Formats: sequence, C-alpha cells, structure tokens
Amino acid sequence: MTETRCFHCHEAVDEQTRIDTTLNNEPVVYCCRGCKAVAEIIHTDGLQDFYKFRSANLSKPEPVGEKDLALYEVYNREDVLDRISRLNSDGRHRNVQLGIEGITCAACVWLIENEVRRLTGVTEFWLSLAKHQAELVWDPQQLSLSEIFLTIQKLGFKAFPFTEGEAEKRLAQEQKTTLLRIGVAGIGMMQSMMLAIPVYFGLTETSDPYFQRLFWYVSLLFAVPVVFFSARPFFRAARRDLQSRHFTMDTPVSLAIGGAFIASTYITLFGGEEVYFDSISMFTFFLLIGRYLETQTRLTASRSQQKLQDSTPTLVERCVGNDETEKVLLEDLREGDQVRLGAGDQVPFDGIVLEGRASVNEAALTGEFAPVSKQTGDTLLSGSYITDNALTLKVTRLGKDSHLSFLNTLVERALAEKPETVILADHVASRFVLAVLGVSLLVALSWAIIDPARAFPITLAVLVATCPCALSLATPVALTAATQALRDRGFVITRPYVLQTLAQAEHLVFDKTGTLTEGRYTLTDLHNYSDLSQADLLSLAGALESDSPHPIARFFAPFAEQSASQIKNHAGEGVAGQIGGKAYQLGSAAFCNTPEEQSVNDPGAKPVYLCCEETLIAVLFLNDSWRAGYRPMLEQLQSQPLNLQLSVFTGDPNADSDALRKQLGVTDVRTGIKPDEKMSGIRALAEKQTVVMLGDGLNDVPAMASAPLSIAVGEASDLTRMKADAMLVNPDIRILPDIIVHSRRCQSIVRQNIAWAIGYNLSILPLAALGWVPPWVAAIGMSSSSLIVVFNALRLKGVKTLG
Amino acid sequence: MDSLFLLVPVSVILITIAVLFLRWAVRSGQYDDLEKPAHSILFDDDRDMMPKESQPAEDTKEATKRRD
Repeated sequence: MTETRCFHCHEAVDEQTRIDTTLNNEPVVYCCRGCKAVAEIIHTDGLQDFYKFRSANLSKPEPVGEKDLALYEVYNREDVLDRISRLNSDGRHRNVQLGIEGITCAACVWLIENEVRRLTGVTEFWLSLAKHQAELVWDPQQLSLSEIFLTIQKLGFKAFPFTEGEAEKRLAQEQKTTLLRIGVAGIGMMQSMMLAIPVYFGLTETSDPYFQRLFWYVSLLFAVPVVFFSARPFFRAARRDLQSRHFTMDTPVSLAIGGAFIASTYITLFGGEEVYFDSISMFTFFLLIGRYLETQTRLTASRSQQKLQDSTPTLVERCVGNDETEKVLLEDLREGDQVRLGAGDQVPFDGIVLEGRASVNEAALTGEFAPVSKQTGDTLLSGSYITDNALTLKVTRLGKDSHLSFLNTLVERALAEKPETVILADHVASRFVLAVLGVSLLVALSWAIIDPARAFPITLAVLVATCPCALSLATPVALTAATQALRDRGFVITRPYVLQTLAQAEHLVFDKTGTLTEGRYTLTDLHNYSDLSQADLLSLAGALESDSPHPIARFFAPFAEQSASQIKNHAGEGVAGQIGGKAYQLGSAAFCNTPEEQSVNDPGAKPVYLCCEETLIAVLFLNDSWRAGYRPMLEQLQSQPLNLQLSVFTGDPNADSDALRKQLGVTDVRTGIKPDEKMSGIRALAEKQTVVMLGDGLNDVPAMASAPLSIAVGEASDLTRMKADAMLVNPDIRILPDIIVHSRRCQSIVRQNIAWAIGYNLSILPLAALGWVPPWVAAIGMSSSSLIVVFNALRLKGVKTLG
Repeated sequence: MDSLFLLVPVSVILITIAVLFLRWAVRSGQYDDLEKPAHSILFDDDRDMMPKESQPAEDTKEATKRRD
C-alpha cells in the first residue's frame, strides 16, 4: 500500500495526527489542523483550482488564531505605517512593499493574488514569483494592514513589510540594463553576421566593389552601439584591472573587442583586407550572457535570504507604574525600563526577571529545545522565547549591546578569519590573461621583424582568436544550472564558492538536536491506566495544551478535538483545566501527585503525567525523534562513491555517546560540548581536511563560521541561516548525498568546460600566429566553442538520485 | 542586386525600431518576473468570462454557485 498523503501539503500523513474528514462531500485526509483550515478556506472562497495548478509541495501551515491578529496589531499604528509605507498622492491610499514567505510554485502566487485582490480596500496587489515580493496599494480607512496580513497567513503563507537592500536594488537595476545590452548585442550580431556571410563567400572587392563597401559600412553602423553601449562594462572593468594591476578576463576581452573595432573601422574607411565586425558583436553577446547569468545567480541567492531583512517593527508593553502598561516600539525603549512580556513572546533585549516565573526556550542560543525555568533575579538573554507565563523584566542591554549582537560580532570575526576560497575559474583566468598578453606581444615582435606590414593584422587575429569567450562562459553557466537544479530540490546556495567546496568536502560534521533530529517532541511510549484509547488521551492532552506555546504543547495541540475550560498554566509544572465537567491535570509527577515513572523502550524520554479527578490515567513519554532515514543517509555518506568521514557534535549533556555511536554508525561522536569547543573542534579538523558543518542553532554558528563550508538545516534560527553558506530547506535530509554528488558533477563539468575552452584557444593560437585564421574561421570557431560549453553545462539541470 | 541599396537602409530603420521597443519593454518592467507569466497562462481561471452556453455543464453549476 502506498503512503497516505495530506490533501493540502502533500506530505506523508503521520498516523498519530491524521484527520479524516470530508470536503465537498468527498473524503479527504489531512496531516494536521493547520492544513485542514487552509484547505477549507481555499474551498469556501472557490479557489480550489489551486490544487490542480500547483506543481510543488507546500510547507506545513501553522494554525491561525485570534492571537495572530494581535501580533499584527502593530501595523495599525499610524507611526508604524509611516515607517513602512508610502502615502499616495491622493492622500488616501498607501503603498507598501511586502515580502512573502512560503511560496513554492506559480499556483501559490495565483492563490495569494486572488485572495488578496478580493478584499475590499485593496486597490492593487501584484506578487512576483521570481522575487517573492509584492506591491500592495490599499486604503487604510477601509481595511487595516493587519487584516491583509492575516488573510495571507490563513492561506499558510507569511507576509512581512520589506525594504530591499541598497546593493540589491542597484544590482537589479544593473540587470535590467544588462538585458538591454544583451538585446542590442544580439540584434547587432544577427545583422553583422548576415552582412558578413556574403563577404566570406566570394563577395570581394574585385567582384563587387560597391557592395563590399556598403556591407562594411552598414556593419560598422551596427557595431557602434554594440561596442559603445553593450560592451561598456568590459571596458570599465578592464580599466579597473589596469589600475589595480589584478588581471581578470576583462582585459583580453577589451583588447580583442577594442582592437578589432578600431582596426576594422580603419579598414572600412581607408581600405584593407578583412573586418571583424561580426566577431565583435558575437563576443559581446556571449560574454554578456555569461555575466547576466552570474549576476542573476547572485541576486537570487541574496533574495533567498530576504526573510532575514524582515523589518517588522516590534511592540513591547512598558510598565508605567500601578500595574498599567503602554505599548511602545522597541526602538523607543531605554535601558532600565520595566517591560512586561507574555507567553510566546521573543525576548528582544537582555534583561533581569523582576517578577514572575516561566519556562524559557533558549533553543536559539543553546540549541536544546527543552525549556529552562526562570524566576525573579534570573537573567534572560535576547533571542530566547518565553513559553508559558508572563514575566516582568528590567532591560539591562538593548540592541547593539545585547547578547544576540555580541554573538553576531563573534561570528563576524570568525568569518573574517575564514580562509578565502579561490574560485577555480578566477585562478585559471588570471594566468591565462598573462599568457595571452605575452604571446600577443611575442607575435607582434616576431612579425615586426619578418614582415612589418603584416604585424598588425596578425596580432589582431591572435587577440581575436584567443578572446576568452567560452572560458568566461564555462563557470557561470554550469553554476547557474546546478544552483537552479539544487534549489528545486530544496538546497539554497548563498555564496559563490559553495558548490566547489562541497565537491571537495572530505569531512562532514553534524549537530544532533534539530539537525539529525526533528528538534521537537513526539510520542515515543505510553503507559495507559485507563480504558481510553491513545487517540482519546492525546485529544484530552491537546485540549488542555491548546493555547500554550510550550514545546510540549506544540506536540499535543494538534490532537485537540474538544475544548477545555478554566485552563490554568502552572509555570514549569503543568496545566490544569475542565473538560466535559471533569477536572484534568497534565504535567510533571510532582504536579500530579504521583510517583515518577520511566519508559522501558525509551529511557531518555520525558514523562508527562495525565490525571483525571486526581487519579493518574496515563503517562505519555515524549522525546525528540530522529529525522526520517537518517541512518541510511549516514551510511550512504560514508560508503562509495562519497567516502566521507563523519562526526557528530552535540551540546546535549545527557546524551550517551556510546549508545549514539552504535545508533548512528558514526565513530566520532562528541557529547556535551560547548559552542567554543565545537568551534575549536572544527578548526582542528579543518587544518587537515575540507570540513563541512551542518547545524541549526545559534550555538552552532561560531563553529559553522569557522568551517570552510556551513549548511543551515531545517528550521534553523535566522542568524544561523544568515551566516551559513547554504541552507537545506527541504525537511528531508536524505537528499544530502544527492546534493554532494551533484556538486561533484558540477565541479567536473566546470573542469571539462575550462579544459575545452582553453584547449580550443591554444589550438587556434599557433594558426592565428601564422596568419592562417581568417575572420570567418574565428567567428565560427568561437561561437561553436561557446555553444558546446553551454550545452555541456545544461546537463546539470537535473539532480540524479543515488543508488 | 541594386535593390540592396534600398533594402539595407530599410533594415537599419527596422532594427532601430526593434531596439527602441526592447528598451521600452525592459524599462517598463516586462522582464522583471520571467517565471510567473509562463505558468499563469496554464491556469484556466477564466471560466467566468466564457459565454454561458460554451461552459462545461458541471462547471457552470460551480461557477454560478461561486458567484453567489
């Protein structure tokens, strides 16, 4: 039997959380409440075609409640609106740029556009699939921005105000110009080729003197915009090369284009044998395409991190004496202020607890998702989450001085010390450039001695023949094709050297919690002392925990089928409430007044006790579960053809390293190590081998920054994602071996391309030096060489699956 | 062959026009999102725009229901 898949998100349905229901009188299966809610909204609004159109799976939506509306409330404040949006000239409508998270295919864009456009008050809404950014024009008097955000969230996506970075904006503008440059060069190329072909085949000065002159003049006309407009970036870069004395491929390119143009113009005006107008346009065209692809890859990489530029303003409740609070923007907060934070809030500053007691999730800082209890006098660091109770805090350090920023500086330092990876092509290029310049000079001198009249045309022919056209295409096309293919599989590359370093990787270091494991609780064992079924017990627990952001509650909540009343949260102990007229308690053994129990099947699991009317009815054992297929994946990485060495570093002090060694099949397992020990461990390994670090928490960030290559896995924290070289957004880590194999394939195709391009240039060089390469041979040879490189790179479009 | 003296200048003019069109298209943002338009043509969400008699029977019911 095949696996049951969720109707909405299409992921495999977990039997524990499965929801069977009907939609339009047809039976459907959902994996969770979130998916059910979204699918029902889509159907009520008549947008069910979405399911027909979509071509990629969706991420799992979180259930949306009224509390989310409160979260978005900040967008209804006038001062916030002024900060993020622009008032239109009519004085009524506002214009805002949004970033949207969770879009996987064109159908998502269709769905969001349709749903938002039907809201009264929305005048314009245009969402870009390439950028995942939207332009919204709306009337704040008819419709609040928070409602628009909530509408988008109800569909399972997340919107946030977005301001494009300056560098990115400039890059995008440049891309537009480049596109126009390519167009001009392409049209110029077609025209001058068309005019050159009759000249190549028999149209000579002796047979048709007028036509040859006419064709030359017209070609010159077409070449002018190509050289002065399209090829400008190369000349500019070459000038920079000369100033910095660091040669790139732009130098020989400019020499070839500029030299050929000047010589051909001279010949056209004053007579001569051969012109190179067709080659000039062709070079420019191909070279620009390579450059365009390169920038496009860079641009998409920086856009994939747009969530990190989320400029959402944060509101906090400042105490103003006598139990009264006022809402202020985080920016307006001062050190020493007293602030009240509720359950589910992220702590945006460092502070000391003045009042209250709560469990705090410090996963972002320590990597361990089990919450720690904090009470009066304890310090809270920015980046942690309060899970169950309200706290009053005194602000000790804000913004730049806070712990989060301090970590950030540490990471910056580690990144600055990271050895720079030299891209293979750059390395080849700089040597190639010097060689070409040397050879051209040599040829010019030799011919000056042998036959001064031919010295200039032959040197020109050498420069044209060795123009590194295919060479400059070799790497960008291959990288673009591979990056695109990997992105489709959920592996996002954010730095240019990733594919190369990944291909050379020898040693992989994994973090445990959140990387090899899911980083959240699941039920691993159950002691049932009642006649209720497992589903009933989970439903009871779910009802009690339905409104708590505690990690344990996040596991139980989706099972709720009934609601509980008089819910009371006891921080760090448990929760009590009424369901169907009976009093229930869920929490620790002490809270339920029963003796401690331990699971035989899973000794490390955390017991949660459920009581009904003071009698124990069940003990539910929760533990972090391993990601699907982690063991075969680790085996695959260690065996042929990958042959990688593996290590697992975990900060978990309770982990039994021997048991882990056996369970994972990895010999090098280090448990209970601190972030700085992780970092020095990686440094030691990196001295001998190319190390790749995979992690998710903030505690991994220093270690990741000191590794030659780092990959953020799964639901990694924002800072981790921002600092990592690549992100594995696909929740299925089984694709990791495929990714490494693909990067190796990419590397070998880059090598093939470079070898071909240089080989071609080297073999045509002696012929050109002897004066045997007429313009048409140069043109045909160069364009076919470039096309071969492109087609070879296109083989990287699909990711092969191992085994 | 003499016609070339006319045809070549004509082609020059046509090419100039083509380039101007391209410039307009690039500047007005038509190349900004190269992915969405390729997909959006496949979404047959225009049933409401079709004349009633040519709509498939089952869909008509749905479309009317939706408009209510």
